[in-house]
Amino acid sequence: MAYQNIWPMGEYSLSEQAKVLGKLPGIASESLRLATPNEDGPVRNYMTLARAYAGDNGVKNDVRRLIKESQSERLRLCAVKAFAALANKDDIPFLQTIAETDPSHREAVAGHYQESDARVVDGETVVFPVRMAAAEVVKSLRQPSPAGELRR
Amino acid sequence: MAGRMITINSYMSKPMSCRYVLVNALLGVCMAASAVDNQAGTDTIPMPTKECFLGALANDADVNRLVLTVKTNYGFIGKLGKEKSEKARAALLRIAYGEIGDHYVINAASWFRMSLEDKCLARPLLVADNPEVCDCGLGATKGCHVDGQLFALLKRCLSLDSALTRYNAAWVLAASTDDGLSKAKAEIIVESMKTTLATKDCKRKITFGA
Repeated sequence: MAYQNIWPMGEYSLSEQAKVLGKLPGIASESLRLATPNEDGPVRNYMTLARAYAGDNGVKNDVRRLIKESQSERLRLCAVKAFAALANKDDIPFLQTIAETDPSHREAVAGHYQESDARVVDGETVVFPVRMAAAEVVKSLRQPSPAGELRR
Repeated sequence: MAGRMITINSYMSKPMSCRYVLVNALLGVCMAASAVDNQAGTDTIPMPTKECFLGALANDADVNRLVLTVKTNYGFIGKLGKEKSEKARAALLRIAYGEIGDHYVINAASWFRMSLEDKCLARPLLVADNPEVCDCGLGATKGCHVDGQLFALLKRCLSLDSALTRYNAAWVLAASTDDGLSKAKAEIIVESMKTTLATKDCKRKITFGA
């Protein structure tokens, strides 16, 4: 763990339930789509992430929007991770931008981060959770697949 | 060892029965012995001190006091949790069943859960009124095949007024085998998600890794 996060329990629980939901074996994207509420709000947002985890490309633009626009750091972080299930190498520029510009930062825990991840902001050493997550996805996309091809 | 003597003396300064004094003195010895044992790099508890601890519990000593006393030595409880004796299991079950809902008790019981060979033993925890006890039971249940009974228990946990318990219940579902229940599992998670942000602990700050 490179840093410690102090999350509101409710949103943390919601995000993890969404992850579990999207990764249930054999879960049908259609059933998740039907279960997604129409009205905007956290439940709809996290249901969207569940659909992303389930591999539903129909929500890709919605997840991009959440990564760029959500005010919730937790949601942006989870959206980046869920986006990894849908991303291909064409998404690298977008993710690279996130990896360089997402504003959220946390105090770095001494001895638990890599120097390359840390920055000094207002005299405090910090790390950027969402940027780090995006950089991880970029890294994985750049890794050659077993067949020697970049992921498409 | 000197440090332990101070601990024991401080307990003796408080009003309590002779029995408590005796139990705490025994525990002080247990912890000291355990610490020495750990320093030696071995992974065993000296039998006499372990027996003292088990004996104190088996004698119906105050479980709350016992567990609070060893709260700084989870490793000791953990080792105890790996014991196969019926006495050790009975003692730890009493803790795990949440006769008292203290945070440290739940932590101690969390060690116990790792030692359960028959994970069905943890199911009674899932009907507890105290969500922390449910959390303990859910930890023990992780990895179980979800049959009809467990499904009903998990459904209940996913409707409790605790975001943390719902999180734990969801992960039990995730860790279970692919049993063709995905659709039913999805339905109860979706229902839970709709109201998770209304649970009483939803604003509680909790420290997690990313």
